[in-house]
Amino acid sequence: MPKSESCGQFEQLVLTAILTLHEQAYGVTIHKKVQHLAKPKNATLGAVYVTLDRMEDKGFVSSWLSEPTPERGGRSKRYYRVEAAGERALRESTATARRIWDALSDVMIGRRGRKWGEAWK
Amino acid sequence: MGRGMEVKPPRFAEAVVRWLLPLSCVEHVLGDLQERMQGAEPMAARKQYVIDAVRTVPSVILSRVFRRCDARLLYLYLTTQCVVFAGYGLFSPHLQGIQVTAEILAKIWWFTLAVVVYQLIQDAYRPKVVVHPVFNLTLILYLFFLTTLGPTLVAEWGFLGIVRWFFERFTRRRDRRTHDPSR
Repeated sequence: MPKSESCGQFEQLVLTAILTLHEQAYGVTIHKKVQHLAKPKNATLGAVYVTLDRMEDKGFVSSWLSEPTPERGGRSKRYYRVEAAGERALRESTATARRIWDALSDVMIGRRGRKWGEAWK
Repeated sequence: MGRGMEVKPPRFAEAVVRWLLPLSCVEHVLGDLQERMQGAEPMAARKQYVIDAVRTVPSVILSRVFRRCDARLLYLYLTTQCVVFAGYGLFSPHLQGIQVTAEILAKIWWFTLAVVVYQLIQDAYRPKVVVHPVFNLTLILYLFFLTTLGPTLVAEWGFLGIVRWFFERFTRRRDRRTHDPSR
């Protein structure tokens, strides 16, 4: 199995945003989606750019410039796509989060009874 | 001006952002900033543009600095600058007769750091350098020398002694060339 790099929580958010946006993943849309996912925390556009840059270096995402668009003053958009390494890292992070959740649920059920634990699910 | 009409970004702010950003980011970052301001009232939109620019541009530049920064080149910058400043302090005709103290050396370090930071920021605006394998090998050998043999020599002669030794060799050779009667 190839060794994959881990990704942090903000990277997970950005990767999820790109995956859900499909062909429409560029700076502004990614930022909107990340803000929606990260509620109630606030994420700046600068933080999204920094994370995208870092993930591009890691090989998690790739980018390309589109044709200039009139609604942006004739400027291009930089579109992003999740690469295989990014998908793998996201899958591993999600699996870890699920394991943590399962362990936590067991503890909660043990402490406060099955009913309370069910409510968490 | 009502909603739905295109609002132009403030010209001064746009020019500053264009000037500050590395060339490879200008196009999409300016486009994103302009897209985000659309749909609001003109005054609010312009304010939004400036706030977004202030929040975004430093992050983009810092991100570029970290992406371009290479530990080996950083070390090379530091040592080279230190030698240059120390050499200047020792051999400059303007500074002859001045005793080099620990305080002066500390000041040299501050200058060195300032120049290195400047060089790192400049690197962020250049395309990424792919280090040639031969240069890479030379650099590794040089760093090996600095980290193994270097400290021994420094302990033996002192850092400034090494600089002086190099300088003296160079000047002696030049004097020999100029005053050799057989030539």
